[in-house]
Amino acid sequence: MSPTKPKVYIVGVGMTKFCKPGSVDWDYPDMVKEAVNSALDDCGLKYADIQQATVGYLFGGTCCGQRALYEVGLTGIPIFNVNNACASGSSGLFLGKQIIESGNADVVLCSGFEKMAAGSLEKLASPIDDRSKREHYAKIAYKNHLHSVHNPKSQFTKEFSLDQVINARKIYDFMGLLECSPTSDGAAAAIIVSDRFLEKNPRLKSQAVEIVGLKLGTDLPSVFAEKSNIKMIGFDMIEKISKELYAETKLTPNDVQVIELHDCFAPNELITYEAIGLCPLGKGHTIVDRNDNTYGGKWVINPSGGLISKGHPIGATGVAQAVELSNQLRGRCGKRQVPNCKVAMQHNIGIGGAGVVGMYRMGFPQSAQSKL
Amino acid sequence: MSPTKPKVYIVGVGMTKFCKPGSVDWDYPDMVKEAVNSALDDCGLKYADIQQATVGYLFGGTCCGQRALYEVGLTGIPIFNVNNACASGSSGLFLGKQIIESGNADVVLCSGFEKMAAGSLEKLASPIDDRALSVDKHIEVMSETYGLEPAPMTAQMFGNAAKEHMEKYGSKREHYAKIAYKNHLHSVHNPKSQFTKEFSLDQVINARKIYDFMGLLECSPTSDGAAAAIIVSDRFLEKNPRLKSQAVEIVGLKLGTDLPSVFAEKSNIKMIGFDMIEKISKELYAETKLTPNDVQVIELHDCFAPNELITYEAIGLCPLGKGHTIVDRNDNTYGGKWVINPSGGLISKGHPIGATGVAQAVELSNQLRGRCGKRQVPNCKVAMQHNIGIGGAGVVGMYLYAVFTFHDGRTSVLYLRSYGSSQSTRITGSFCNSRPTRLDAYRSYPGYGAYPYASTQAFLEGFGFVNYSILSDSVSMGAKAGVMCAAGDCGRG
Repeated sequence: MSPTKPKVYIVGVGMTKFCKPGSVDWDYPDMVKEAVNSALDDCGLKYADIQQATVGYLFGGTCCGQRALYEVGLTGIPIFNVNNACASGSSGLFLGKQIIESGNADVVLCSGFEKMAAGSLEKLASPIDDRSKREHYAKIAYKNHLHSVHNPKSQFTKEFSLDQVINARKIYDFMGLLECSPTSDGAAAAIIVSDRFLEKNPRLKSQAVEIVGLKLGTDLPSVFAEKSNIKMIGFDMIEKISKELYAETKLTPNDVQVIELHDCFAPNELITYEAIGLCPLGKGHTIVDRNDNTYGGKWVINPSGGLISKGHPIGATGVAQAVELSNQLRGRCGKRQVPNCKVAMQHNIGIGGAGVVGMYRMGFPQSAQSKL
Repeated sequence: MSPTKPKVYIVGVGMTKFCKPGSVDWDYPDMVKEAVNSALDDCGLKYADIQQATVGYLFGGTCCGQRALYEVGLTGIPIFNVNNACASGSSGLFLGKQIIESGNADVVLCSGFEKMAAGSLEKLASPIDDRALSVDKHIEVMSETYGLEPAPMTAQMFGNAAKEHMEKYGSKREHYAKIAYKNHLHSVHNPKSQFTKEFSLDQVINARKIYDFMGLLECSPTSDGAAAAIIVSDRFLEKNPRLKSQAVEIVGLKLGTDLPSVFAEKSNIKMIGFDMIEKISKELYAETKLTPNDVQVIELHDCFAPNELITYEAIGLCPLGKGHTIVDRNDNTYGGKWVINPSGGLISKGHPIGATGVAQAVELSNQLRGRCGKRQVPNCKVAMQHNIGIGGAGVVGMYLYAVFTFHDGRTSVLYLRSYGSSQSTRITGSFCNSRPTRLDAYRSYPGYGAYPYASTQAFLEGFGFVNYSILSDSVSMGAKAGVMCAAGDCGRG
């Protein structure tokens, strides 16, 4: 790696509240404008400071990114419409980081949105083997709903009992409504900059979150070759890029306190515990048993409420995870603040597909104001 | 700009023949596989050598890039699905170049495809009607000027721009027909072109009307097809010098989006992106220190004949309002100042939207490498690309070489970002036996019929480095580490 490759930091974040499709009278340009202006306000920059932009979304035809951003400003900058299924938002972040590393820009806007339709969800594999039990998945969903009570941006903010989760209307096999992410409308935005930009704007150092590492991968042969549903949902891809992430950043799950991971359905969260190496293969349910996935445990996983409760406007999701993690590291999360959080991890995945994992920490901890 | 930013080269290209949608029994993964394998064969690389990939396309849902590339290989690399309307293909190239410049990859695959439906775009592009259309403000400009007609929307956009040009600047209906006539003629020698038939000017003028004066033969068709380009860093070329002889440098590539004038000036010419293209062209010329006068061959976005004429002005081939004078002088075809759209352009070659921008780069690479047979542009040294999409985005690019021929006959080809570079290259020859080393500078690959615009020579022998500098009108060599024979054992110095 070239010694002169810039470091990349998130300096401003913003998102709309996620909500049930059609429940608010707005269109996607409104969503994006709200999220982007919120992120710009957060760091005190103007749209004219943005030099390139990525916009993640699935539904809506070409150049919706332009259609949305043109309402914020018409500055002629390169704009990329990014789609990689449910990993679109973080693919945009990954792209934005490479743009800054290329030296062609110092300030990049990474955003995402989705305007969906209320209605049915995709079926996803439900891989219960003889070790994990149906209740393990319900407990994960219970946890995520509980976490969201203190997240004003979350689509749902209601606590459900474990019984309510287990007995909710069945969507597929054992899996009930409360263990599935909803369809949602919403947008999120993150403004990322180079270290060179921070040197010229040192006032932003205290809020700069360093993207220590970000890896994007696509499917490996095992996805199709092994006739395994666990492999089909991307286990090996996530395992591989997680190992690469740990090797590159010299950080491991033991260094991490808070994780936003892709709980499109509760089973994906449990299986991901294994794929990202929080526990050995086949032992994901032990993390649930030990409560090592919530406040008081080893990690707090999905403090935002995850996709299950916070919502899943597909193109926005990966960016919204980065918004939550930035806010956690900066100590801005109020009652859902993870205490003593120094290192945060992101996991975002899309069937089709692509997977993204990332590590974040404060860029300049000595200048960060302590709000913990 | 960081001094260590890598240079980027196209080393392998491939494309399918473009064809009428549905006329061939294939799906988009087949198209992409064919184009990608063709590009890999061209440069002798394997899919496993690709480190990241971009795939441009509009229609088909998410992750079609993966679905297509997975049939070539499953290697877990980052894959990006790129869409920017008709500029999707070149947006992927632009992205790929930035990826290489980031240092995160040395070999990137930039591809594009489209599987369309016969007939007009509206068949596939039917919008989800509960949300803003990406071109609704563009359409507003039309409805407030000429009004809206029951004709294909993009045909109206460009047809209206022509009407405005005729009113403001005095171009005539025939000028647009002549451009279409030229592009159909160029395609006769392009086996990848969807159409390869010559039409008379009368046939073009009298073809079935699509919108206002504009007829079928002045409009690009809908098409199926795919194209691929493999781009690498200079670091990769140093390790694989066998590819140097076919490497085309991307001297500059600019991507821009709309400026306020697109909507604010109630002008159809502005609405189709004139100012955006003008701005990024000027930036391209400033950055590369190349101008239209250095260029011999251009692939530009003739989705409809009017766009070609108006683009002549936007990219600075002529002053504002004078695009039709280039047509009158035949400065847009063989024998004239530039050959514009030697491939046949979108109008004849076809326009599978996601593939188009990449296919332009394929043609320009082949032109610079002298592989174009009967449609080869003679003496072509610098090539320019222009690709645009309403919504939107515009991309312009320039493609530049210098060759050392040592006293023992070996050659070393150099690729330059811009004039004025002064670097060093290793000399490893021993006694020159009174034979000079030449340095020739070309503004394109020194292939078929090309000649250098500047040359110099010196007597070099020994082991070490030589400084050289390539300027826009001259080249020079200077000694470093004692390899230049000064007084000379032979007395020649």
